[in-house]
Amino acid sequence: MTLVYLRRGILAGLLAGLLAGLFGFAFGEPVLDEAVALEEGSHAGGEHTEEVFGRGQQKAGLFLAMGLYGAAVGCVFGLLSAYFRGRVSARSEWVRSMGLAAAIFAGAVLSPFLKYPPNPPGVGTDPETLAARTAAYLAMVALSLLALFFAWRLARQLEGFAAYARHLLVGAFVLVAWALLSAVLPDAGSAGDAPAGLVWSFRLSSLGTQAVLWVVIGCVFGVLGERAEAREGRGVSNLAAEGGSR
Amino acid sequence: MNSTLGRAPLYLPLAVALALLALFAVLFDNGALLAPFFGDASYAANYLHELFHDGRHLLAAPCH
Repeated sequence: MTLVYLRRGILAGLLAGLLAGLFGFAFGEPVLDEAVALEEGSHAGGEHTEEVFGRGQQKAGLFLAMGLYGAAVGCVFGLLSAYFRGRVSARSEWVRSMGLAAAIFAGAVLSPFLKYPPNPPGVGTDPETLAARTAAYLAMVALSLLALFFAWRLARQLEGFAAYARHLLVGAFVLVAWALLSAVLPDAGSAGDAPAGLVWSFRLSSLGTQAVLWVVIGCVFGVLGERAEAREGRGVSNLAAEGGSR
Repeated sequence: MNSTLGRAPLYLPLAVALALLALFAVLFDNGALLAPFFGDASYAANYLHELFHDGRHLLAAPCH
C-alpha cells in the first residue's frame, strides 16, 4: 500500500508542480522580470557577470523547478499519507488527503511566510548572511511542521473532551507554539529600500504559487484515492481492516 | 505487517533520499552538486542556481 501511495503522491505532485508553474508563470514572472531589471540597473557600471541562462531559459527553468519540486514533495506526501492511514479518524481518502495538504501548507508555507516572507531577486541579498538565513528558514519550516504534528497528537489525547474544548485547547497550543518559534528565531532581514509595491506583489505571487501547488496535490491525491477505493469496492471499511486506531 | 517491513528497506530510504536530493537541488544548491563533473566552474557558473532561479524565488527559498 505504501508503494501505491508513493506512486500516487508523485503523480499528484508532478501535476501540481506544473499547474503551480503555470500560475507562477502568469503572476510571478512579470514581477520577477521587473525585479531583475531593477537589480541589473543598480549594478550598471559595476562588475557585470556573464549570465549562464537568459531570462527566457530561466522561465523554462521555472517549470522544471516546479515539476521537480512537486514530484519531490509529492513523494513525501505519499509516504506521509501511508503513515497517517489508519491513524487519523478522517472518514475518506478525500478528507484525509485535503487535511494533510492543508496541514503541510500551514506548517511548511504559511507559518514560514509570516516569519520570513520571501523576497524578489536583488532584495535582501547578502551572501555573508545566506547560510544563517537559510538555517533560520529551514528551522521555521521543520519546527512549524513538528508543532502541527504535536497538535495532532494532543487532539488525539483529548478525544474524551467536548469538541469545543478540544478545538480551543489545540488552537491555543498552535498559537503559543507559533508565537514561541517566532520570538525565539532570529528576525527576518530588511527588504531595504526596494519598492514596497514590487515586494508585496512578489510575496503574493509566491504565496499563490505555493497555495496552488498544495491545493492541487490534495485534490489529485484525494480523487485518485477515492477512485481506487470505489474500484476495489471496499468503501469506508478500510480503517478497521488496517488495524484501526493505534 | 512483517511483509511490508521486509519490503520497505528497498524503496523507502531510496525514495526519501531522492526527494531530499531533488529539494536540495531546486532550492539550495549553489554549485556543490555539479562540482564532481565541472570542478570549480560549477561554483563559478552556478548552473542549477541559475536554472532554478525563478522557481527558487517563488518557492520562498531565502534570497541569495
